Amino acid sequence: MNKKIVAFILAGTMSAMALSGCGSSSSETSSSQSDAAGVSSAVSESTESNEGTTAAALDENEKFTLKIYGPGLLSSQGETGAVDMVTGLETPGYNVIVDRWNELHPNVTLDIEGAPWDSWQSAVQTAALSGDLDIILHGATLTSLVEPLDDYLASEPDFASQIYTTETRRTTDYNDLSIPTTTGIPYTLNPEIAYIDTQILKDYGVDLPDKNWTWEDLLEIAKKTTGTDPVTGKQTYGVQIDSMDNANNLYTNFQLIATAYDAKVFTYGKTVEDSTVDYTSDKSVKVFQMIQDLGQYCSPEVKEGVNISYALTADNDTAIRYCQNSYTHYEETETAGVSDRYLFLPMPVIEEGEHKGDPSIFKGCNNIAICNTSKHKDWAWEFIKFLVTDPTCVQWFIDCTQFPNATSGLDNVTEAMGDKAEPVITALKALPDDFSNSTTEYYNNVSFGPVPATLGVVTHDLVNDTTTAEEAAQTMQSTIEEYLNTQ
Amino acid sequence: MNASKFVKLKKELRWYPFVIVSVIALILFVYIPMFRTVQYSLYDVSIVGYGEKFCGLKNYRTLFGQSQFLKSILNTVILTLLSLITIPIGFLLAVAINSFGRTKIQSFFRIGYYLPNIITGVSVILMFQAVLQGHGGLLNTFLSAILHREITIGWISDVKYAKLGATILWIWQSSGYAMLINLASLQAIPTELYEAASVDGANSFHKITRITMPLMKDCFTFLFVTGVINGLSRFTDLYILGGNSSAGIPSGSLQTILMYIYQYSFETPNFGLSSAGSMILFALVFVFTLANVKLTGFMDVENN
Repeated sequence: MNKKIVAFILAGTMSAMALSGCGSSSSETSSSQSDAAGVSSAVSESTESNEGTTAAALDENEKFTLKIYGPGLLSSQGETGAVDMVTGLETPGYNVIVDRWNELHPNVTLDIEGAPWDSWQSAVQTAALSGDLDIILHGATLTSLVEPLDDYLASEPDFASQIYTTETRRTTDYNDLSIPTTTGIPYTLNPEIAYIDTQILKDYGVDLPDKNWTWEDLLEIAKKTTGTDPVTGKQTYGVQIDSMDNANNLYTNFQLIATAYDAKVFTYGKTVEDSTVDYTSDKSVKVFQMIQDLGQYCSPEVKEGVNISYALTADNDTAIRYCQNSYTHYEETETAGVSDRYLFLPMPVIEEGEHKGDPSIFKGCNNIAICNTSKHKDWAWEFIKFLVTDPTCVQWFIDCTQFPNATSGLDNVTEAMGDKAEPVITALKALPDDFSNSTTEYYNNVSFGPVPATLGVVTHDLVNDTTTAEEAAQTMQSTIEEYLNTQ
Repeated sequence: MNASKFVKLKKELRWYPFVIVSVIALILFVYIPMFRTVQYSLYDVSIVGYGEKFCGLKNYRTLFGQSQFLKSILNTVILTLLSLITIPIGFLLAVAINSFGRTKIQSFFRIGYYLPNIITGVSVILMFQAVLQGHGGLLNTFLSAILHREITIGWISDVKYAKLGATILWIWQSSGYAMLINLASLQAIPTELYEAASVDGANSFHKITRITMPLMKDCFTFLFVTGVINGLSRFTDLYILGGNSSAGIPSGSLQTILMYIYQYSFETPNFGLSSAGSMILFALVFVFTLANVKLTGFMDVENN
């Protein structure tokens, strides 16, 4: 009898709580919707209030905490710093910038919480739901959660002139898709750079390329330097395609080569429905073909995406590598005592279009954005300006082997890296003002569903020669069309 | 309720707070999210909490109209069926180990075969990347040595072999568990039955097929049901093998339903779509399990 009573009570409690969970859903949904409405109104209010926003409008007596959350440099460095496993280089923690901020604005406490890169988007979304988040690290892509910054930038032309670039996205959250909206500001930039092992080229009797080289030149060098090194007798490979061990970043290769051939895929209308996607143009197929051709001269490890080494060391077996983090690679060459052996070069030139003659474009970055539910948006903007341009922060980025977005950091970088900084600076200077990796005419990971995943799959297949360029183009086209048709 | 019963209930009530904590946790972390998933599967929701619109069965229609999702179902079913090979392997291992009797040798093999099951999953997967590598991988090096010619099969990079490569990893990880369950069941069979069979002139094959296997039906059913459920919800190993991507590299051949759900939850957030995918996965697991239980009579009162 007792068991029956207990079972009845437990079942009743469980049902009541379960039903309250379900029952509250409609009201919570309404509340969510009203939250969303609140966000929109907050956005418009903020946009209105931003006109004429200046630092002078800030109340230095107001005491509160600025809550900052997200992945990126602040997260990876931590409060007290980090040690590079390859070079042993110790880099400082973000306490450096917190100390500096406290000197300038003792009334505003910074509460920084890092997030890992794994599932970072959903982690940030969950954090934003709390309603007390002010700043989202790497938030530029999360267009529904962040404040548009165009008005802030327009009101402070001085700040805009102090940085290389902004983070823009094409989103229907604020504008139509044809208009890029500034959703974040990069605080560090990592343009893609090529690293050439001059020793391998010399052994094969191949001339060193110069900054005017093309992707065909790169392919030709890769072809000539794949085989048994005539001097050392060791197996060498022509090229290492970027990010083969991280399928989510494989799109880098398509984007780089697509900018070179001006292979535009996306033509943006006002909405996704008004926009067109064409992966089957001759130029796009040419990009896929180049990826496949380069794949022939990669090592088996690179093709399979297993045990890939990115470090520039003395026992290197690959003639040409290209990836970000050139400062880190510079440190590696210094540590290994092979700095003279490697030539740092801008990526092959863009052959057609508006940016003809500039290096192929791809830049990684750490960016920062204002959460659109923040109650301290003006202070959040103040922190962004501080983080991006304050000399202490700029030096901290350089100490962490990152390139600052602030143009004032140029001298510091040149001083640190010597002539190896030149290709990086060339790439930074060539960056178009409103360039974003995420929503270009060549790539979009915001509004067109499975583009990133499918591009990763076809790139892997091309490098491993299990598909053709035409099939890869068709796969991309049909996957995206299928997704759009069901929306 | 008389006084004595009331006193008894009051006496017992002191223990119920311990149960209530678990029940509340269960409701908060299992049932409410579950009901929420059902709800979101009927809503157009990209980011939770930022506006949800009721869309009826649109998410389900989208899923069944997407070849990528249908392919992920097919991949899941094939990989699940392949993973069931651990049951006969576990049985054969158990028979072999049981033949040693209750000796130290038996303990040694029992622990040895079960050990892979308790090693951290991610480290095993990373190790197997090196084992299954096409060039210089341990498996291909071994095959090359015994076949006297160079074998360069891309066990995890070639679309033709990827499912087989993933199954090799699964077998290594899971056979020990199947062995242990089989062994326990095997040792529960009364020895008198074998002795009687010997008197009647039965050979070893007859004993296994006529006595051992029929009496281990419940054990096989248990392994089959749990194997199917585990197979249908396979994720971590395939995610890491595919370059930390849910795309199921190579060629999407290793993308399971759970990876598809992950893709639309965390990589290209569309929680409505991923919730609908979760419901379909739930339905699949439910139907498979129900069919297994019905067909085998596993839950029949008489059998238990």
